[in-house]
Amino acid sequence: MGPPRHFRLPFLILVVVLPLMLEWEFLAGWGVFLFLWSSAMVGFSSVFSWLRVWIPLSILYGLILLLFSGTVEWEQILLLMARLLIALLGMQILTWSVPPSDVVRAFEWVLPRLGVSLAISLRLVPRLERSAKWRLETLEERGFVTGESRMKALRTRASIWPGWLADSLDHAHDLGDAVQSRGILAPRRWKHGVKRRIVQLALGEEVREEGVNPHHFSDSVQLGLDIDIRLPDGRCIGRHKELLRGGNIVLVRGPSGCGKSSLLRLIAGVSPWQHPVTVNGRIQISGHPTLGEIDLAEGPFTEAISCWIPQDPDRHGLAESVQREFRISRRLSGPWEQQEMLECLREWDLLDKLQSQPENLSEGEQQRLLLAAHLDSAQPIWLLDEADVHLDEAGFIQLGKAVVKHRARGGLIIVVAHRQARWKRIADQEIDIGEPMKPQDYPSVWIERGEEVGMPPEGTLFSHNLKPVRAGDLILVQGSNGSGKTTLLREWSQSSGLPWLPTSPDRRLLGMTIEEELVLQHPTLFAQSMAGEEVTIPEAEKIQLNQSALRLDLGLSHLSMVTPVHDLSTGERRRLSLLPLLMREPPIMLLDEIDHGLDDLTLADLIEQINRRRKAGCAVVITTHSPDLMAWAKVSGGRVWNISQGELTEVSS
Amino acid sequence: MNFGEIQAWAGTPGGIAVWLTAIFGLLFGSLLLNIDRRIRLGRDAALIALLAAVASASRILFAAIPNVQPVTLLLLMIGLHLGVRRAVAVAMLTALISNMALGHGPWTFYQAIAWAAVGISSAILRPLLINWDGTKVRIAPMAFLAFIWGFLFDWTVSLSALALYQSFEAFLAFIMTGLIFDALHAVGNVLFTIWLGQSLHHLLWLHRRHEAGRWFPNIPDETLKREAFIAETEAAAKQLGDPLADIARLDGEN
Repeated sequence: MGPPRHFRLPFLILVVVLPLMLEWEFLAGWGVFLFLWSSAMVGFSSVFSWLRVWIPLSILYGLILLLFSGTVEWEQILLLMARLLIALLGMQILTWSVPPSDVVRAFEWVLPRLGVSLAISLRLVPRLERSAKWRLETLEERGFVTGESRMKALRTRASIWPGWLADSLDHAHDLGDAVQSRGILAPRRWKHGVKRRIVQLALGEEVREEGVNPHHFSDSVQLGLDIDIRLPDGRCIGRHKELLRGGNIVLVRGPSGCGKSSLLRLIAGVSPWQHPVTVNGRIQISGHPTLGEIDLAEGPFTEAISCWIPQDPDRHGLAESVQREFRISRRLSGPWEQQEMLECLREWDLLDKLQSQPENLSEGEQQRLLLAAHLDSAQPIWLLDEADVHLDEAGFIQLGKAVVKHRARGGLIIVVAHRQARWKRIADQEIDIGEPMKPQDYPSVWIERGEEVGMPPEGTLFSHNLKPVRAGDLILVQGSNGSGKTTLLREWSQSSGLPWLPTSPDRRLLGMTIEEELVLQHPTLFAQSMAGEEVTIPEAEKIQLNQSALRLDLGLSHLSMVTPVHDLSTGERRRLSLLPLLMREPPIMLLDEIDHGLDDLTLADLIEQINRRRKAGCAVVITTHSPDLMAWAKVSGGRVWNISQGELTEVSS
Repeated sequence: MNFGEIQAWAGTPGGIAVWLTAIFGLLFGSLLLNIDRRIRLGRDAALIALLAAVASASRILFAAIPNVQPVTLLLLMIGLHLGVRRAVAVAMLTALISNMALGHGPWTFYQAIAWAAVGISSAILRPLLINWDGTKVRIAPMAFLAFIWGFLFDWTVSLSALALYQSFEAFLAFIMTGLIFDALHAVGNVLFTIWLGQSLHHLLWLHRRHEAGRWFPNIPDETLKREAFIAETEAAAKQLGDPLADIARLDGEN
């Protein structure tokens, strides 16, 4: 409802100059007009809160003028105050009416790189808010704050800000890597010269960027790896010597934390330094459509050199809208045309999400969006880092189709995956990092069900006719992307006061270092750390022992206490975030996509832990897309629920 | 209007406000252009974005308490750890983003330039603000600098209101009236420094490890030697025939 886009500058001049020229009666009319306009635009409450700040300041201004400027006519002073207030209201209308995306677009034209920073900032502000909310929620879930005095609660809440800021810094690095790998900072390659672009702009035509037509890469695409990755103490943590050719799907395997993602980051041309590692050697790419031969040691490159789909879509999506995510993606093929984009959204079953904000989509939908927008068919090398983990069966089939098509085109696809059964069917080559892992059977145990311990929530969001959950129950919840599996767990947790573990471990990690994190996992441990070494809380020792035993079971005991939490691999962070849940022994454990980021061996250990909890009378509810976990649940006498359009149904029991 | 009249007008509060705003605006624009040209890495763009987002969010969060906000401390820390270029970039973006919520005006230029000066001051005074090995921040000098900037920042931004006053006396009275708010800002800065200073320092210090990685094009000699040894051993093992081939067997063994 603001002034039209092309009239914003004249409007700004008008709202500043007009009040200076008008006399009382016309000024009052103009003021009323602006007041009504702004009220219709943002509502009375916003206008009143704006007036609450500016009216006292205007009065102060008037008083100073009256006392010090030598003007004795109070009518003149009132007129000046009114002019100031009305001019400011006019400027505020402009501020309210310009959407942030327009500011970003204007910036992108004049200052493209700062425009990227501004766009990321605008995406980060709500994300920072949500991240703080998750952390406060986690504190409450762990039993902090309740029963504490106001000052003590404030102190506890304040103790989590370094972890929050450290997580945000890490998020910024992820976003920076996404920007770098997608070549967003590279200068634009316009299809036409400056004169023609000015004419196009004047005629309102779309100003197009140059793109490379996807073509058959034949066997010219090659990736030569001869690198050695070392820690600062000189210890080698990865030696890769391979020659990979186009027209192949390569599956990279290895335990979590062995450096698979770091290798993909190196090939993508982004920094692998979560630790200050030293890389020796070369990575050479040949057959790139625009850059030809590339020696990655000569980087960093502003152009995109491969198509990298990292883990955790929530942390790598850049844009504030679905349309803009498409607009900034695929720099090599050239920008998406509207029709092409709609077609792609339909294929990935996202057409109805066109108007949504990416941060409001489920993890699976965000992953689909990243894949739909960023899989660039002109890029010869695709790097997929656990790209299938949040996808349902239909999503995986769509990804499989895209991958096989790219292979047929002569492209090279490198896939990192822990659940490899689906990939093995189409992979041409398998590379093991470290000792080859033996196939693992998940430990199954048949447990007699006990008393009723709860029921999933029913209300506006969900309806069901399910049997109650009993002690020792194992329940797997399945459903397509966006069907509401995570929402179900969140609602259940809120309505019954049960703890739950979201897919993204960062939502449940509070500390900056492992030591801080372990202390913040239980109120007693926190109280002990605040009390210092002189005071001993007897209960704290017992809890600490339990925590240490669980760390050993989950393979976390070797980690140094001073290690920053965000230097850990996704799998290690996931296990660390699970500790407080296992320590609390709730009647029902709610786990969202438990297998994400875990290798088979670690998952088997975790399942052993879950079985132990079930034997002790705890029911476990897990959401998953994994066929392996479904099979395990059936062997273990578990129940399978399906969720579709808000209705929960029992598939098998 | 002849030159003399223009000269006389340029000395009035209104005239000073116009040319000062024009200078600040030009400075703002040229700094933006300069920063834009210098951003080469995605991580740089994102780091600037994050710090600007944190500063803006904290400014908006503390908007209810007049003039108390941790932006000055944040800019001091950024200047100290990440250098002048990033501090100036964060200052520019913070002014732009936070004023999207709080209201834009000519003061946006003044705020951006004043915050940039905050970052530059801490970068220049770095040897006084951290200990010899860079692991700890000296809270007392940092708090003192933050206190001084509480006043200097407010007075710089107040210059944007010069045009509203018809005499210098009135403007001075405006500054005097605002002293209580300036004092609030300064004391707030000191409290924020005591509360957040050390942790912020630790965090940004840890962040710098991300920049400590290196890439050398040659494989280390020891790796090459080890691999050559393994390759030789494997080749030699392949060339070896059956060591028992020449031994005459006794009839009974077959």
